[in-house]
Amino acid sequence: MSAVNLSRRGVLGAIAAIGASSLLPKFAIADNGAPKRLIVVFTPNGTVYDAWKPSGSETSFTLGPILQPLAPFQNRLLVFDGLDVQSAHHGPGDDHMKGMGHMLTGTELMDGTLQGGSGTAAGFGGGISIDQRIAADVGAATRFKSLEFGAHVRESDVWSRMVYAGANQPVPPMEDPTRAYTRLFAGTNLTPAQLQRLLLRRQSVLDHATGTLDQLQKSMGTGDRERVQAHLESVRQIEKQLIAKSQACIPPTVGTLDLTKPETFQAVGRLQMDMIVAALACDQTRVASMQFSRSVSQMTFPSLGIGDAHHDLSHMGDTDTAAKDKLIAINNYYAKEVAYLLGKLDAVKESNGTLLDNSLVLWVNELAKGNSHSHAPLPVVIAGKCGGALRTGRYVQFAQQQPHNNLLVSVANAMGVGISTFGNPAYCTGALKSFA
Amino acid sequence: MSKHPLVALASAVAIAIAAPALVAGCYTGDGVPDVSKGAHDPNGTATCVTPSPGASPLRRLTQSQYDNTVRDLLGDATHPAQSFPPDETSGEFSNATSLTVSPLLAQAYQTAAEALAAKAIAKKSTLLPCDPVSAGEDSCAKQFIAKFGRRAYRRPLTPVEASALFALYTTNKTGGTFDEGIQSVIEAMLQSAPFLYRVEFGATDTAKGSVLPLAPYEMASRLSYFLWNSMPDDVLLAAADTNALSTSDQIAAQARRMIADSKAHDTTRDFFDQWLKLKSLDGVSKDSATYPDFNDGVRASMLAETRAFVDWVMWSAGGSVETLLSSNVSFVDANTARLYGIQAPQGGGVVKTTLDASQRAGILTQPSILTIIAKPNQSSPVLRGKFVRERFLCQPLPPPPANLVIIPPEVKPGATTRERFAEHDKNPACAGCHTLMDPIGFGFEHYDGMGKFRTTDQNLPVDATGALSDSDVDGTFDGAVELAKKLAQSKAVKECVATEWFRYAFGRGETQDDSCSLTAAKKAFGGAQYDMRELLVALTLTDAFRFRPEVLP
Repeated sequence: MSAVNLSRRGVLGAIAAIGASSLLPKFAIADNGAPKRLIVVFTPNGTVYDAWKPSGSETSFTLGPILQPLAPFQNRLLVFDGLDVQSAHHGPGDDHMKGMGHMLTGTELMDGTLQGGSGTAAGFGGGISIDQRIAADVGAATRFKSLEFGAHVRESDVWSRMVYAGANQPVPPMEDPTRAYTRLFAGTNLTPAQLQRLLLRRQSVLDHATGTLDQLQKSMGTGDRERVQAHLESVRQIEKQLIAKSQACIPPTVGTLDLTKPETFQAVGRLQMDMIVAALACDQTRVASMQFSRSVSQMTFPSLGIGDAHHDLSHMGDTDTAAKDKLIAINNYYAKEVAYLLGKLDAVKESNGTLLDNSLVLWVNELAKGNSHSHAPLPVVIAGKCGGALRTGRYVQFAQQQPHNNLLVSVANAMGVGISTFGNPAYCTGALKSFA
Repeated sequence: MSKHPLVALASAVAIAIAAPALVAGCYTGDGVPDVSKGAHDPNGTATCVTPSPGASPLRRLTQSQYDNTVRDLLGDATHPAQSFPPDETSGEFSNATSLTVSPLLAQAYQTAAEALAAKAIAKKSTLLPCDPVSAGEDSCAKQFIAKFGRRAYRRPLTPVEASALFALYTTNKTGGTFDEGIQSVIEAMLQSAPFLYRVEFGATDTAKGSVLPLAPYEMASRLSYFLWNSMPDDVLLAAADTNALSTSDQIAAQARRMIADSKAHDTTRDFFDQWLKLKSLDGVSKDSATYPDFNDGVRASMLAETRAFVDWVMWSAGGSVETLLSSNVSFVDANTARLYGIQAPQGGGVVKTTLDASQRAGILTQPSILTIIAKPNQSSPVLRGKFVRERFLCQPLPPPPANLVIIPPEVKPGATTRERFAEHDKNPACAGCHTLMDPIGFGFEHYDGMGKFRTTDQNLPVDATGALSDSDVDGTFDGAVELAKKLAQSKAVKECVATEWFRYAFGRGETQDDSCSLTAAKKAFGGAQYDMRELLVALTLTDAFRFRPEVLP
């Protein structure tokens, strides 16, 4: 991996400047006030409920030791206690697989065709994830329909994928900040005339690729056809990237980092979050996600003095206080990283408040509790005001477990996507009570 | 947690013990898949007269196939696919139906195609079949499209394809240069469906049926991507031109020719990488307090050792499963020599070395695998036993039951790893499945979490006695060397190796439809004293390889 030191002048900014945008697909960039943004954050292996849970009432509560780092943002939080990922009690896969693949899709995994991992032949997620569903509505205006980031994910299996463009269409996160930087912000040394020719060529080449894929998808049977159609849709999305990058983009400074060592986990994660904030701020996208490691994460935390692997720790007994303290420390660490993101979002001023005020940050986990692999009560925190769509500063406790899919419906509604059910409708009864 | 799962489990275990399919039923319960579903027909009740190929999903080039293909197509050995988002994995091998193209990958294809085309055009004299000055630019472009296209698409272009590419050339040449036109054609081919996918329809000129033999160019690609993990060479394409890839003699002759070529090493390396999870060594992290010697250099040396060993087994030592599992030859450098406690060899790189036969036997006792299949701060009898059970006996184990609180014992002074895991034996909720893993895994207790041989654990003597059950080599053993020798004698292990190669070759699990193919391959494998090179030839002669279901759009 190499350091990046590229011009901040965007390739596509330049093309816009020379007036070649008439060659390019038309996508309006909204300037009527700040748009709403969605950011999904994932942290793995369940939590320690007692230490996660706030105390107090709905509107007057105190955060527990794990969520304490979020205290500066308490009036812009919604903490949900009592959600059950009902779909995860069904379908193929082990509980980590199901937790990861259901968390944002609300439906069963596909059947797999090869044994492996935990001896269960589970495939990838069985439906579109909520962020992609929202992006389908709000992502057309921006250069990227959505942007996925990860830190130390390291694998590409069902335990490592949470974002789905559709059934069996995992959307991988960008794990290398250098490459992400190049994709989002890199400039060029080409003259405007050279650039214009390059963009023309790209368009003609992508048109050709689209033609061959369309031809293929028409001649394939079910299953194969769906995969080719997904490929076709992916090419259409990169065609959109030929449109101009906003001149207002101020990318973060990116340096060389090892993408495998626990020692660099925090730095990689923060750089990725910096990039999310920069990309949202200049409206390159309105939907982003940040995935810390993966389900069954075996991350160690040298900076916390924790040499044990996270997943192994998550299986220790409830009475093992040494293990419990370490798990609290790890989850508290993740809360600090979420707080870092919230702080960066809040530092971006927009016409009507801050970027955080116009965002919905959804922090989820694939499990409730590690050692029992339970799916309820899923620890869910929402931050930001989503442009005023959320009534925040609340700790919402449900006396009776509510379907997690209802939360996904409500998140979409807050983002302006008018759906009344999401995922497998068998596990959804509509919008979540007390959400707004 | 509630007691119900434990009760349910205990009764399920009792049922399972009475049943012959112990592994499949080490417990049952909600959400536990029927692991026998994918099993083939072991008794060969199928008649094996009518070809029965099984499913044949469309296959996208994997990362390593992309790299090898552009190496052979354009002479580019820079491995551009290593910067792609990783191939999706589902199960042990690159799975045809799991390989999709996300926007990130589509963009990576674009970036790679542009870089490759720019490099290609910089040395166009080697690429063009004609001189654009004397032949005329457009005429030369047409020749290039036909000739290069046949290699890029691995078959002659259709007239429609050729004219679409010529139109693209014209668009990009207009107002620019001939080179820009050619460059755009290369970029386009590298992002087109016929390049990125291995498209098959079967020999549609034959009488229509639900099962079709492969068309000649499709067979050329099947052979090359299976045996070389890359595109067909000129010999294969020429054989396809004359329909000389249809009889079993023709196919076997090509397969043997290809296996004799060093490009076959790409396939075996890819197979072993996936089968034995070798690439995950890269991401393994160890607790530096427990394993201060573990670093990137050691990691690289471990991988180099196993790769060199596999190459040696396959290409110098007769290719047998027995050698793979029991040889005490290995390939050691300064880092691994320190791990083995032997003198470092002279010079750089790995050197063929004979290890202490009382301590090491074959691939399962190599530090790479022992490091991968272990915990950050300890060995793991459970994971090691599971690895052997699943990948060498082809007996998948189900996940732990839902809502069962699983508490692995922590490392603590005064107790060996083995003692800490004894709970599994005592607790019937655990024993049902763990009896299939732990007694194998205990055999590896002479190796710590990075594969270093030890005689003590927590200052107590190591007990590495174990037992194999539910196999054709059941019985007790003392240590992994004895275990490996038992496995090396097992017919079930060898047939499992054949099954694993089958899954790799076809990018899918075996089904009922594959029973004749698998039976035939295993028989040929046995007839060749389980030489894996002969297994590769045998797989190319199966129904699964030579036929496909009709494509029904």
